[in-house]
Amino acid sequence: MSKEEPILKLDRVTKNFGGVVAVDRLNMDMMRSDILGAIGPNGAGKTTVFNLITGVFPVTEGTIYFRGKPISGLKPHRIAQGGIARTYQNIRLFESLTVYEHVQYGQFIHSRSRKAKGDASGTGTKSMDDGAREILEFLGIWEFRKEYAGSLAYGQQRRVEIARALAMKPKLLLLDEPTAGMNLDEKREILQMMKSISEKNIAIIVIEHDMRLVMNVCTKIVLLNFGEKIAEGTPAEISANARAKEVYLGKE
Amino acid sequence: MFSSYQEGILILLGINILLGWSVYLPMTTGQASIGNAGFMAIGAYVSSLLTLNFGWALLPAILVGGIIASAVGFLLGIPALRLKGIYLVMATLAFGEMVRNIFLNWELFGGAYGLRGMKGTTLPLVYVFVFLALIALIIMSRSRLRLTLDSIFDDEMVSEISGTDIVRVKVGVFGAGALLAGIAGALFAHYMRFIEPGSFTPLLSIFMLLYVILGGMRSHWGVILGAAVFTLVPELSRGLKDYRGVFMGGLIIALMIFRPKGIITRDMFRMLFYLPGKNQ
Repeated sequence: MSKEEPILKLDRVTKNFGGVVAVDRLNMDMMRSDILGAIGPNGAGKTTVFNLITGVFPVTEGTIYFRGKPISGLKPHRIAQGGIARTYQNIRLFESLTVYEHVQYGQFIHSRSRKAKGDASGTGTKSMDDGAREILEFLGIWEFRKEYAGSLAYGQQRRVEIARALAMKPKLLLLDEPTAGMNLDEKREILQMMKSISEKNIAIIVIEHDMRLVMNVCTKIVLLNFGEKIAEGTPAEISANARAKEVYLGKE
Repeated sequence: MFSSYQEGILILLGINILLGWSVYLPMTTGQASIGNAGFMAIGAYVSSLLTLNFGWALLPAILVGGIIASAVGFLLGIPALRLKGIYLVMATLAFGEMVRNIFLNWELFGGAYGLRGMKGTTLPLVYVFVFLALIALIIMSRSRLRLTLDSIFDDEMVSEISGTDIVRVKVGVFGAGALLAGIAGALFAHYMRFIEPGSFTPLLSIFMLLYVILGGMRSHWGVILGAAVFTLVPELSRGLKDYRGVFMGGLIIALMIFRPKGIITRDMFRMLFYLPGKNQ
């Protein structure tokens, strides 16, 4: 195999909100095997970068390449169909759908069949039902499959979001603060889960404030501040970087 | 079987159910329309012109009226559904009034005098259309389309980021609603035997929306009940004479207070059909 090309590449990506520069000439690239941690203080532009990658709003300047092709300017649903799935900082689930239906909904992206579909008792195609079960068991929420997503506890709702995203069979998964509000045990589980997802050859970008988690799981870290990239490197390099310490990790 | 008075009320009930569903369909994706009297007028006028001036049989005239209303719905939907909430409401209102004024000024359609002499709408014919529409709605509510519609209703941005072409879906249900309104309009014209631009006022559109909101906007069954309440209560309360309107208004307010999500809700179905111990 020839030299692997980056799965995602940001080339001088800039986002201007009427004079406020939220993201400033950001260059970044990552490989399929990467778990990239995006860190930085609140308002640094991390979530904006997610919104630009998923097409929520257009880039002001620059280009985003996904698997070698430019995706900036495409509609969000086209980008999703291309293989990018995400979760949200403030959990955003569909209150009319059960946990199981969230996964089914995610799976639709890859099935053209308009066949009538029943409930968790399994009347869809066999492979889809197996796939849904596998995802829900992987996330430990199979037992809640018939519950309405909004009625679950916070930590479980986060898992439903991840389940919906995984059901889309993404090649790149964007996790926006997946462990926010979780206790230590839950965080550990999410960390383990991210490693397993990465082993399935899905690239991950994670926005995270818990530095221990980031240092533990990420292969690469990008530090943003005021929309600019301050530092980039392996966890070891970041913890040794003086500017990174100053901006984010605090002086010790 | 029925007196002609009773038959007339049942025909209007059937037409109102179709009109309610014409608003319910866009509502499944969270789009409120108060312009559906416009689509109804298109169906009514086009079908009447076909039967009166071109000697068409009633059934094909109804279908063509519906299809043309639907085509206009798709064309309107593409630009209009970029609007949301109250802005879309205003745009649909303007559309309904626009259609009414076009017919008012178009001599081919009789201008202010309207058209008269249409006939042929029967009770069975109306309920064949109601039945077919109900079958379609039931199929829809059991297909994967339901999940897509619900996802857009709940959070259209997330739905889009999860791979749904929301513009296509929204325009689709809007056009399907216009089809039902057009068919209902054609049935209405050939029952009333007389139509004029004043038959299709915004008030009629508002009533269609009320069937949906009061009946329950998350279920096609709710619309049937909403249409039934609004069609039958005014008839049954004739004894109240001049206070009929007051009673009707009070009923609407009371329903909104006690059943803000509509008379028929999905929770109600869940409660009625929940069987303990059937969870595994």
